[in-house]
Amino acid sequence: MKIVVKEGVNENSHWTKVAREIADYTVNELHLSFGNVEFRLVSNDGLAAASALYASPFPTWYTGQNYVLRRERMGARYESLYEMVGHVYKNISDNEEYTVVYINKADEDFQIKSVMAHVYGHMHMDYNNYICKGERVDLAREAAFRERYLELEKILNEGGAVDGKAELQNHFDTSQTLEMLIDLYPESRTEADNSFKNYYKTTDALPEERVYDVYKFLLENASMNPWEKEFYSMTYEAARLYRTARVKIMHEGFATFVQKKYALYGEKDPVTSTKMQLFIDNVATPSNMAQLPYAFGLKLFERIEERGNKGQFGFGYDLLSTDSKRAYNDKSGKGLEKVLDSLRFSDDLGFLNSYADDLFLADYVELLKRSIPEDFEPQTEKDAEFKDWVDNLTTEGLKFMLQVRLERSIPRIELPKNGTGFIGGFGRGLLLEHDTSFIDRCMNSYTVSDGDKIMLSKLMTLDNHSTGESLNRLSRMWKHPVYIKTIDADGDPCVIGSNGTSFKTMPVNQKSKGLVRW
Amino acid sequence: MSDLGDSEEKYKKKVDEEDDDLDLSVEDLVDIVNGGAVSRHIPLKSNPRIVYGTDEDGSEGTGDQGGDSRADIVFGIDRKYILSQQNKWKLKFTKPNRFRSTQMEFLVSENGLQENEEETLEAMLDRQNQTGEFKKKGFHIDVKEEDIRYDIVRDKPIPYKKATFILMRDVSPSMDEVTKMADMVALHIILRLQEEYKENVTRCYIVHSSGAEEVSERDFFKDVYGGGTSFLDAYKTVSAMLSGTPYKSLLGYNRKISWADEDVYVMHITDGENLDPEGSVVEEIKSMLPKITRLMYMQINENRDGWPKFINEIKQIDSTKLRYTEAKKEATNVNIAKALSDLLGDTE
Repeated sequence: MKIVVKEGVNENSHWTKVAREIADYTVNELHLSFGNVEFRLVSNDGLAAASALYASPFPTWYTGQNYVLRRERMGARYESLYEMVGHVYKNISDNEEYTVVYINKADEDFQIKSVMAHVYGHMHMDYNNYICKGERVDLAREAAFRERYLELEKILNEGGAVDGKAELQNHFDTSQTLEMLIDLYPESRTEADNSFKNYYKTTDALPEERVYDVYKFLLENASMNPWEKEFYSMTYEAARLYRTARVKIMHEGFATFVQKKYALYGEKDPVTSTKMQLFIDNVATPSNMAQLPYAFGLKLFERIEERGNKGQFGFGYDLLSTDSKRAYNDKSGKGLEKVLDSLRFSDDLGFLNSYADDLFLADYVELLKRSIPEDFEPQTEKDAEFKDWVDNLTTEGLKFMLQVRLERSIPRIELPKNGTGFIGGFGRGLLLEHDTSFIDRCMNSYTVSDGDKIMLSKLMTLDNHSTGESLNRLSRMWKHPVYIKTIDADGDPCVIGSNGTSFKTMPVNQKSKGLVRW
Repeated sequence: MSDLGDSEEKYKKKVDEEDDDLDLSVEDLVDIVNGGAVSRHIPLKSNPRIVYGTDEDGSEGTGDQGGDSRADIVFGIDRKYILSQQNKWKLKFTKPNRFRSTQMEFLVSENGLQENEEETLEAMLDRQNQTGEFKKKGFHIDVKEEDIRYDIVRDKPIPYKKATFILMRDVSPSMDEVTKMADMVALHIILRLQEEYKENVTRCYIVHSSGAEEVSERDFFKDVYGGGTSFLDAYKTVSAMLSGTPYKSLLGYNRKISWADEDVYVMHITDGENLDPEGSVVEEIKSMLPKITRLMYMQINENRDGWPKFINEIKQIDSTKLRYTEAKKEATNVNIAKALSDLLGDTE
């Protein structure tokens, strides 16, 4: 494993030495494993640019907005972005693959060291978690996308009176609408689901089997010019990063866990160690829900380690009473092994269900309540709502909130078998389905109040302006109406349909054979 | 940074095209004219996606990506921004050249000063030959003052470095609805002049209804209306400023504009209603015309048909100094751009 720190084109020998020492600690003491890393020390501006291009590699207004936003917020110290793990690239000097990591050179030395440890945690996740492993993106490929985008702008401009930039921009905007329609769970599909079939048959109805990757389906079956197809292929590939949203808590939680281990046991200077611990406390604040992945994730990994060290796993342990569980300790000392094992084959939801037991959640609720000072005075309505929620929070309420938050991160949209062509009650079009099965999971797994049920319906409906406008775009792309079956704010089935220019919501008539006509 | 390409420009262009939030008030533009800047909070833009939530609760953009929260971008609008906006409107303005003074311009040949040196040497040789010095000493370089030769010298027109901008506005009640458009165009012109004259631009403000008086900038941009409309008094006030004679002023002093040493721009904003005899206004303008650089007349009255008579008469006297426009009352970028082009833009 090779570690190097560069500033501009030159190696920074001091920081390279430091980075290698920290890497040695994480590998030898924490048993992490990852590939080569190239740290790049950059300014606020450089980090803002890297962050913007990571979100989208294409030189569009969206990238410009992200760049301006980051640059301003970091410049005003309203937000701190300390690091950014980027893409992989092949270093031609040694022909080896490196992951590029951007670090803010304006940070203080202890922050840079602490952040390096954090980064190694991320790297371990990227190399060992089964979801992250499949989504590593090549820097050269991203650069190629960028160049091709600029080429297409030029070609379109030269092709006639068309404003090439504006036309390509429109397609980029459409691709943003599409990007959450990729299959977020490819690992759960069977070989039959993923096999290529000949979709072009004599009947109008497509597809033969249920489709989970609607974006890919549109890419392969919508009528497009060759250059449009090429463009959407590029944006489809860039959209795959969304799959890593499923492991946000694990990613940040584990990285913070490694960072804290280094602060406590790896850093020899006590003053630096204390500064690092305070730094971590500032980031992983339980009372800041925006930092939940850091705070909750860290606590959960620490609990897994504690339980692993005490042998608190297994069928026998599960049968114990609550008090006995707390007291159990076989001193097996396998905490770290358990932590590393826990992050390999899970996403956040699986992680939560496997390891966030009632004891842990009860402790976390207490921690949350203690994190709000007694004399705290809410300054805004949101603050007051949050305080009220925390004051009344129970273990089950926390678990419910987490389950809803994770299930709801990105809507699962699918295209059922024969979901195109002439659809009964609709005419020719594309009929999508919103997978709402998780609502039952949330409702049935907990004791849910009527208020929670109402809240859940409102949170789980897709009936809103943004969805409607999205369907307008899909319809223009598909060149026929597009519909989506979902639920309304009251939890009743409905269909939202678009003919390309306007959309409307239609109630589903369960008794009639078909659905209300467009 | 190069990987970003023109992303930032594309984003700013999108904001320019879409955002009413960037609309400036007259007060904002006055601040900018006086060297300040204003800021605007622009909400983040996003493309529609299939997302959870109802419209009343605010549907989310990308769902729970963790960490990031919605934010605004703070857009700073200063003089540079306004000038770049004018450039996007393709406003081209060049300072007129007036013969303030002459300078001797030494023409040079294609190979620098060679021709002058050559002529000087030739003159030197002629002298040496005539005086017998050449015969005595042979060829030697000994240039005396009388030998020095130059090519053609000519007068070079120099643009003025200073300008005075006199802004006159009709404050009769009928101008109530069109104030913003009038003021925005005038302020845009001031900014452009400041750019061209490196901020050496003196501003004078005259309001007129049944009479006319010079007021402060603060009072000029206050919306106070009343009275009938008399153009004559307004133009007489300008003439008084140019000649250094007394006129009515709320500033506590009268000014004298050194029109011989600087460019003078006069802008008149009105709805076109004038109670004075037309002939008197024409005579007044005729007398001031040689002293001013440009007279800009902006009429904002969609109900009025045609121009006041003096416009045609002044055109016949000196059309190069007169620019006029019929402006719409809505202060949109399109309307402002057109008015600016008519009043200030270079003609083909």
